Amino acid sequence: MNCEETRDLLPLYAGGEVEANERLAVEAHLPLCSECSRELDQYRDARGRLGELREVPMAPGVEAEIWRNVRDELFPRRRRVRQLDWAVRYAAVLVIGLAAGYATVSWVGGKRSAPATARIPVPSPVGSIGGNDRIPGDAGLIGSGRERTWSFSGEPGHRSVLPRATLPDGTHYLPRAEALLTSTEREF
Amino acid sequence: MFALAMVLSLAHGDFQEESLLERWEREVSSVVQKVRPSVVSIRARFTARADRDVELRRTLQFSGIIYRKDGYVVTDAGALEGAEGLEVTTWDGRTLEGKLVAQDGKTGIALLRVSATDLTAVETVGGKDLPAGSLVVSVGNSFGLAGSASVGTLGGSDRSIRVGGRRFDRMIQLAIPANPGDCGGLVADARGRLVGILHSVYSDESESEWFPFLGRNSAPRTSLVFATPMETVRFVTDRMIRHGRMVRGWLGVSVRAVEGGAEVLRVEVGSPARRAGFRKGDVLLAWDGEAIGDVDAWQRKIEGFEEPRTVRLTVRREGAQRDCDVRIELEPGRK
Repeated sequence: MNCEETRDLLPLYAGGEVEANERLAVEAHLPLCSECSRELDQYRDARGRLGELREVPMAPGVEAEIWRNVRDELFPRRRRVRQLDWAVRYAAVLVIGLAAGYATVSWVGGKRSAPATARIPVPSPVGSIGGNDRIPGDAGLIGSGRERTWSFSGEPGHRSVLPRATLPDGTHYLPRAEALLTSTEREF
Repeated sequence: MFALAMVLSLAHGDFQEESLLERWEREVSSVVQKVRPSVVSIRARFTARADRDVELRRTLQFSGIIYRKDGYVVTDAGALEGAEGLEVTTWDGRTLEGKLVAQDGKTGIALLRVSATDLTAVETVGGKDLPAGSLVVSVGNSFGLAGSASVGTLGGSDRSIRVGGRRFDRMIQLAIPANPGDCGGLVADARGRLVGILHSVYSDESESEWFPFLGRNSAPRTSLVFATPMETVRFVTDRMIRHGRMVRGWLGVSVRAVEGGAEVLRVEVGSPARRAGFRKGDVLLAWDGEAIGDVDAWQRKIEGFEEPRTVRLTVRREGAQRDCDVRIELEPGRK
């Protein structure tokens, strides 16, 4: 087995998900190739750090904010759409349909706690991950073209963050009144 | 030479009469310059433990007002809940550690103390109730930008709102911009005297969330801005400075205004009113023989006490009047 074939299998090998014959082939190659051995170490290191991930409740309002951002991208310019021809309108309907399908699949997926691949970057909705806690090698290395490589589950409404996450500095405060009251009630 | 200077000055318009608008601009600017040194930026530090190994740290920035030059800073209590440390930055760039003296859940006012004796306190004397439409100037720290100033008008007074599940009464309504970071900021009148403290905003966002296509045909959304009035700020802050905590008299009733008095809606368990036998539907008519028809006047009377005292109240129940002695106590601590 050459280096290219071995590297394809390394993420699976690090996770113990290769077939017996593949495992033997990888183990035969590793003592002969320092580069592949180093890459395997990086996968193992990254996997160990992923194991440190913890689940915390999603901050209030984050889901609504995510939807707002998605929506703004889907409907960026209403006025133009009104002036476009039918072909573009059909395309728009198709995009909306796809988006709705995607949202539904995502939602159902979340309900079932489907494994999310480590390829997905994990920007914590409750804060940015500290510089010293970043996974070496970054997400590109972790994915390596194999969707099933490593996974972690996420409950609906939860995200994983590394320890010692910190909100972006300077959250500014001004509360919103929930209701205007017209009664003359007083408490004393 | 003098004649030449006159001619040159005239040619450059130095003797042109100042327009009303220019004068207004100058006056507003001078008010902003006067009050800016009395506004501080406050940063509160929080730590939340989400899990055994996960620690979330965050900071919250808002505004405050220098109430006295010897280090008393008044601000909004809503931002302080759970804060582990406070940093107060003055207009001249000094960063001082803030210590919480007291906070009052009923009015949402908090008093801090910083170690300084040469601060520029806001002018609080001579203020009176401004009529709707009066010009007001606000200075806060919009998105952390120090000394952010706005000009607007007083839209109304004696408003009641609910913020964070709590009721706030006698608030003033402003037609003025307010941004995150401005909470606790200063609202001043045309002479730069304290009118109130920026508290919260109200805007109805529900429609735009779900029907974005209606946006084109809907009126543009603006926010109502609310501030805690100076009268409340002074009452609470002076008590906090005097006692180190908020102290007010307490009867333990909820009332509403009715003809000639205040009708009792609820009586709190364990309250002086409950011990005196007050019931829902009773109407408070008089205080030591003096008829009081206004619910705010009742509130001022009761809350004005700084130590327990027994008073005689006249109450109407099922058409019959009766007098009863009630011991007004101090309000138990509330968050």
